[in-house]
Amino acid sequence: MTPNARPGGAPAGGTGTSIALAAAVGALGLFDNLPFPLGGVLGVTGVAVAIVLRRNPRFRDRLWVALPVVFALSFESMTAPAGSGPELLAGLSALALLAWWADDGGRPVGGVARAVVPLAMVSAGVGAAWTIVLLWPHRTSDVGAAGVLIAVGLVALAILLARSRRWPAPGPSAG
Amino acid sequence: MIDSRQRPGVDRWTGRAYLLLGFGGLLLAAAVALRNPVPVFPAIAFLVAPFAAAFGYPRELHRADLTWGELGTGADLEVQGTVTGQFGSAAADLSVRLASPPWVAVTKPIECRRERDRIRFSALWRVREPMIATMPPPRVVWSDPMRLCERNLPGDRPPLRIRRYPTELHGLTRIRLHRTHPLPGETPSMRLGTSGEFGGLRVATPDESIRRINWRATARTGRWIVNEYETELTGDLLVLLDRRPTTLGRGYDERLLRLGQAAAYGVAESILRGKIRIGFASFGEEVSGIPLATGRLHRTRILGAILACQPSPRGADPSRCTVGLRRLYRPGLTTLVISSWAGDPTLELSPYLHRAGYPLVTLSPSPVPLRAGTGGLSAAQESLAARIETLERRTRLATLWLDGPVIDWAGYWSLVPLVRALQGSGGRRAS
Repeated sequence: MTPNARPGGAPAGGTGTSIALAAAVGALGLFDNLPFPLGGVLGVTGVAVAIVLRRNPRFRDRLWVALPVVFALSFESMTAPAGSGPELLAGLSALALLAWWADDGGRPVGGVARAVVPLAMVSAGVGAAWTIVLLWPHRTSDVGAAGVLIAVGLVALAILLARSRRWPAPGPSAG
Repeated sequence: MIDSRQRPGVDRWTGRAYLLLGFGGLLLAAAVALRNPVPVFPAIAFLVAPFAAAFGYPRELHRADLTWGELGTGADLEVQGTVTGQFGSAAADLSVRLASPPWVAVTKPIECRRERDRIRFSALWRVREPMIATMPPPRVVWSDPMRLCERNLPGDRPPLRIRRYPTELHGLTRIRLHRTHPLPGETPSMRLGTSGEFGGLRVATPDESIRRINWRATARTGRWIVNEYETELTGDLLVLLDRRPTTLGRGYDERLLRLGQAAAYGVAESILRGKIRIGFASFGEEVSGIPLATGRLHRTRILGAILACQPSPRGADPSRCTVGLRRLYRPGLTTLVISSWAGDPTLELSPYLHRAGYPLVTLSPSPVPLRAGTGGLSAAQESLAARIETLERRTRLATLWLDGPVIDWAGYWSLVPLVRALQGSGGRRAS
């Protein structure tokens, strides 16, 4: 039997993924063009605000709870200089955000394990993009366009897969 | 039955998915504009994630059937149910979405216990005032662990009837009402039947219904003995619900009508339990009614008619009610009139019905408790306003006592005065 929420008052889940998210976003912030600790502090603050909001049962399911961390991640990735380290950290930060969402204390335990298939697909996309960019000869000029093409291709592939037989028609209804 | 909202194949993205897609697009645009490849990487993750989440829909999920019911008495309402199906490990990602109706206050939000083949859920509410209503079934929704996409599961999910009325009405089974003969000197019929006042005993025939067997008499005599009833000496009751608009406005009219429906159903259910015939009529612009009868089928019929009552957009003259009522029911029938008496005083039903020969008991749901606290007054002013309104209402209801007992129903969870009034009105009249 799986309880709806974890026992106790406020949901306590997501500690590991919260730490991973804070570490990834904070580390990405250290690479950006802001004065030294400011980027990291900004990232960690965004994550901390989101974590605190999510621990409150009143706000847990609200969409805007994730906005601080999404904003921080987006800002840091836009201000980070081109390089394999920031690129990898940016991708990992996005993955950590998805894993943090999956590991919601308001839902039954094991969210990350259940989300392993979609997370693996996203990881494959990010990993493929990073590998291609790493091997690309002109890193700062054509990479943006290449990334767009990769993303569009991955989205199209995902759409095709999602519309395939993995979404089966339900069985006979007794209506 | 399958609710239209639970059609198979209906899936949708959540707000999170749109957030990711929006920020993914922005990051890609920023990457091109800034000639910086770094934003591309979170953008790829953001853009792929919603579709990857949809890809994770478990194949074993086909349908989810529901059995549910209500518990509790009075204002406490506990809804319990079980959703069954072959869920497997996907049960963790299923949720039962039960919207709390506007007429309840949530005491304990919905809680689910999940197993591989069933989900048990319960919710505890507090009903604001007596009512009968039909609750739509909850939705059973699969959502991926990241909550990016959702899908409704189809299945058999019947609606739930909620019936809440004051518990004193259960005591109505014991009362004796007026018999139906209206005129003094009329010769009472000796017709015997299956309902009415107890008339005697006789030996049972082979095709006798087991419900009519008098078990004590059977044990005493050693033969099958059944009860007989004098059909013309019934304590028949007619419940008349006034649906006409009042000066309070549609919102209050709906709530007062809901109160009236609850009382009507409570009275009908209790009376029918005592095998007494009952009829139900409602009056808006016209009279629509169900003839006198008893039995289980009649209970269902009456419940359907009560639930179908809606506030009428226009009112009609009470004489029209009298004419319509006389077409359906014989005068002399004890009539319980349920009306708020908050409308135009010249449109009051009681004098007309009384003159038409219907002995009346009047139940008037008071709008005063519903209106309390809605005027933006201070506590002292509120108290004063309530007192003035109550006094005004009593003055108005006092005139109705000429036509029969009147119950000002202000404490919604008690109907002791109504039970007393109906008990006091009864007894077989001496011919």
